Amino acid sequence: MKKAAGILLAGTLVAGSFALSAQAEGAASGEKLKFALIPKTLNNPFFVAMADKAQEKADELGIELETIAPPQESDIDQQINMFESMIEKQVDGILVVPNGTKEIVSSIERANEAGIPVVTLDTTAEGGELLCFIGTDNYAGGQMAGEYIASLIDSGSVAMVTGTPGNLTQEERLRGCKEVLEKHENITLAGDAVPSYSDRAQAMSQAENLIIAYPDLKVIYCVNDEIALGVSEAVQMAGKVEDIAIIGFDGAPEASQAILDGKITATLAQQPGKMGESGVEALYEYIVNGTQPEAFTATDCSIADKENAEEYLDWH
Amino acid sequence: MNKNLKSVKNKGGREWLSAFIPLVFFVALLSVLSPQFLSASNISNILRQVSVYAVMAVGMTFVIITGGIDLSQGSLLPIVCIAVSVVLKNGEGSMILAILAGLLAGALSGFVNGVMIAYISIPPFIMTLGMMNALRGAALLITDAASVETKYAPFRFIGTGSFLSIPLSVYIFVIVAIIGYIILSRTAMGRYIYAIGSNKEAARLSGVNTKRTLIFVYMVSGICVAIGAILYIARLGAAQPIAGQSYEMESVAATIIGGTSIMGGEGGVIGSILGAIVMSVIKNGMVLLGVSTYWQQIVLGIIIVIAVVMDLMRKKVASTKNS
Repeated sequence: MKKAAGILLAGTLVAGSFALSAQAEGAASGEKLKFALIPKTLNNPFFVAMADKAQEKADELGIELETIAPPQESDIDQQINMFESMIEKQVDGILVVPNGTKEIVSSIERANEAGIPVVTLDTTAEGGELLCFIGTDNYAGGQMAGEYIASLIDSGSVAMVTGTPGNLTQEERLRGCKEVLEKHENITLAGDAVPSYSDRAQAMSQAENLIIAYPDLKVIYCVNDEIALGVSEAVQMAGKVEDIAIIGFDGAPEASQAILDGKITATLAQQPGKMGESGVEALYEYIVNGTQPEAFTATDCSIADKENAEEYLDWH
Repeated sequence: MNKNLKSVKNKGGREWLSAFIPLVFFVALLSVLSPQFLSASNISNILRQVSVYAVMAVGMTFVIITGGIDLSQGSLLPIVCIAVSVVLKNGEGSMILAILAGLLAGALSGFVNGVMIAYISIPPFIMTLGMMNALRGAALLITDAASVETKYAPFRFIGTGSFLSIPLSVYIFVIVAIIGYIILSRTAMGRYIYAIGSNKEAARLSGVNTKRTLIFVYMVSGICVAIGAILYIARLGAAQPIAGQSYEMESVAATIIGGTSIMGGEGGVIGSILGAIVMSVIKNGMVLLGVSTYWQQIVLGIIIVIAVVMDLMRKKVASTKNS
């Protein structure tokens, strides 16, 4: 009983001190704008780059930016709780990369009611009123990958390794590529895309299986760089570096290094930093100058291969 | 030693049949349907792919036989990889020390699990769930979400090399399995482990040091994960802090398919190894045949349930015989 009371007391004290410090901060910062950035998670360097660049931009514009994210990409409700607590905090704008594209909608509507503008980055929401969406056009990126593959080979089979079946972003990347390749008669697809759950070891295993199953395999297209790095280990072990091209997606620094080392052929580079930067800027322009941004701004994908991978050793 | 305890045999039963039967079935099926399936390189691939899961499943078998579970296995994997990579760097450090550091990390995590479960009686599910989260967070914190790597060729050889055209990692998992088998079936410690799983209180009353046995079991699990993690980073040359996610479930599934009872007291490592191989054969076969991989999960699900049904039927038969 005593223990319980003690815990309760400690809890109250901690909560109290938080409330006090929050008040103090509010008073000190005066009219400084406050934005919140809620990426899918911060266990992925992609979102770390997004957060870093957003922070730089915020510092430059004199904005207070609070970045908060759930531990896992699969934590949909936890992210929603974070989003709602930002509404409670009455921030001036919210940047979010939704984990649940449908689930986030009602929270966005609540932010709309509270008059807080919301910008989606990288992945958009399937409803609610958004100031704008800034991200990669994954379908176009997939097409770009398809064109690149078609420029590499005249004939032979192309295998695809995906992350989690049903993931919208990854499906779009597959669809774009597939549609382009289907137009080339001499290029065949090696079965359906095989899943790897974006785990390097599983990607490696799947690539080993594919190499055995399809002796004429020329290209392995991977929906992200983690997968491409796993696949590249399998291709190296099979001694097929010269025969099988590996295409990744993301433009992660580690993949760019692998391209320079000759382990991966190319990757579709995205620009998470640019997304973060532009997002902060769009919110700022809207609030301060009333500038209405474009509903969708595609941050360009570009091919990083041996020619230019050096430029991609840092996230853009 | 008390009489009661002697009656608790080291049960080397036929529980592994629940993995062996589907294994024979799928191997036969795939040999007919796919010309590449029985090729030496494919068999070698399957065995290499299974090695990390197989080693982890050996550890999980020890834990599950005591009636416990170790959910922290998957999260421990990147911690071990970090320890190895920090000590080894790209070959400037000692390889032996790096491997020892990895094993130590595994043993330490298992020790903490075991002590909390044995002395404070935290349910294994809760303790290892907590450990799972803490270790994952620690891995992300230490690495700042970036991956760790090692390019040192002699170390990579453990994961990529072969001896007599059999992958080295296969020798390692076979050795781990044999050691596990011997401990469980030929030693007093093995008898204690089964005794705790059958009836912890009875085991304690018959003089088994249940606390020490439990700590031992979770340390075995941690060390097995460490060995698996060493194979993992040696095979891939790098590991992300989120590596190994849900590997504990693969490990539990392999153990259950292998006929180890989730209620404890029964089972063995041979079944778990076969269980892990069944899972890899199915994954491999789906790709060779170009079958939609959604089927893979359905088939695995069915096999898990069948394995448990077989377990229950065995028990029913045994109990009618006894009465």
